[in-house]
Amino acid sequence: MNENQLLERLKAGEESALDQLFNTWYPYLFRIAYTMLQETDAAKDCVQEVFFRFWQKRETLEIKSTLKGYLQRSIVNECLALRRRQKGFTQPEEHTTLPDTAASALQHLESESMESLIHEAINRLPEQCALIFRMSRLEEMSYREIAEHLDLSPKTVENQIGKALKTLREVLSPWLSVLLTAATTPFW
Amino acid sequence: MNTEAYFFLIDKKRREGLTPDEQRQLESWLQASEQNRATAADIGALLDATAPLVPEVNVPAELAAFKKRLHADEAPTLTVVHRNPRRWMWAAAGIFAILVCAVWMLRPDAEPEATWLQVATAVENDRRVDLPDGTVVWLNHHSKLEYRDGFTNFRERRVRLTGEAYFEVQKNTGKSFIVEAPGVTTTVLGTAFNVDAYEGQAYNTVTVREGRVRVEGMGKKAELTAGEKADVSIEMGSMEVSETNTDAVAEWRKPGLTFRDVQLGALVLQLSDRFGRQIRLEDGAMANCRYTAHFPKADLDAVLANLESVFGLKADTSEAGVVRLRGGQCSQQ
Repeated sequence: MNENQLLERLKAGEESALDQLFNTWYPYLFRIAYTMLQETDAAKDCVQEVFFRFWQKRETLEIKSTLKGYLQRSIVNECLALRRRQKGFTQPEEHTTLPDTAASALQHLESESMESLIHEAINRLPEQCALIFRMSRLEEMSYREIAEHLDLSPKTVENQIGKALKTLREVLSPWLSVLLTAATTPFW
Repeated sequence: MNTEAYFFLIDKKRREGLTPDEQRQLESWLQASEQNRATAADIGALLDATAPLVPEVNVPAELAAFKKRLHADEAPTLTVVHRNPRRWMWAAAGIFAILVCAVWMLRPDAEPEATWLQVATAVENDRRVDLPDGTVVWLNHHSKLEYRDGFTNFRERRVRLTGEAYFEVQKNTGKSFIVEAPGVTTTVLGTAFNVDAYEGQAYNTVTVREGRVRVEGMGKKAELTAGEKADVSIEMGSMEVSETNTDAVAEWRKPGLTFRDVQLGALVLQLSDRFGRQIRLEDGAMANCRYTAHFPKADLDAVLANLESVFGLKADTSEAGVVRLRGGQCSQQ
């Protein structure tokens, strides 16, 4: 069944079409939401919201581009809205100390997950920069789409990614040298 | 151009590819100094390390929650009865477990003789097994799962495992699900969990990701809930329960390749099997080097490229169907 047929069935209110839409697109939308929010429950809520609105609007819905493009934009907007709402409420997280020498980086590697170390380093980037960088790690989103969704020029997106990489390299440099000399690569 | 712009080009090259102009710019920057090349290697490592890590979500459960919301909104006049269905289920499961025990004591050998069916996996082959009751089992490599012919006709759903498997047990069938593995028996009360019981390991481990299971081993019993694991040592006759991070549990089920502290000797065999090509280590001394890496896609070229950069190996593919890995040393200092 192609996209148009699916949309026709949705408009007619067929729930089986809704199931199909949900099962097909849920993992994709969740991946984007989680990457943007870094929180499982909030990401799930946003994805639910997107499907819910889609269903509510199904009769009047007009998709100009593709279904994928439409859903992508919906989830990004939903997540951005949530971030704005949360801003007033959340306390800035306490920062854990990042290792500053190769020796302590190695210790860190052994004692704690490297994943959290990187997560922490990205969190410390300026907010917009962190968001752009995270979104740019998604295979399914092009630089152009990131720029469009965030209402930025493509040049700004490029600059921010370069800046993020520069800062991350500085912050994580003890760790990177361990990585490159310890004959291992990270396994996430 | 400033350095940051080159960093962006490194990312762009990997993601979308470069225009001929950009390619030239990047290359001349790389050729300019050893330091630039080292920096580029850092950025490459960083980009590998920051690939998004997204937790798995149970889509059917999310769909069910979604449907509930949808229908609650469509029929707002319905009275909502506040009841925690999970708690109710657990209570029922508890009662059921006690009944099973009682019956079991009265009729210890009442089950008919059964034919055991076997599913096995070989080197680096994972496999999904759909049991007749709807339970899904992912078998890791070198593992064997047995279940009885007429699986659902028995009082209990009983399987035997050697090796490692992840279970998503079909709920509400009114029958316990039991996994017998060497030294450790797991009774399921409705859940998703991993049993790691390869022969010859110091510890066999049961890890629960969702719900609750009962584990018996070495004369001890424990109930595990989500986020807990039991480590059973046959040698020491011990069983210990502790909390654990379940994010990485059954990571081996995901597509892609994960190598955790494997020796290169074993690695080339795994790769040969997986990709149907002969992959050989020319220098036998390299066979003991240890390697840890994850590749989001099962891509032999990516693995070979990484081996080249990590160990200084050279992949020679001049002969069709054969990859010879030459030279290299365990740790490049």
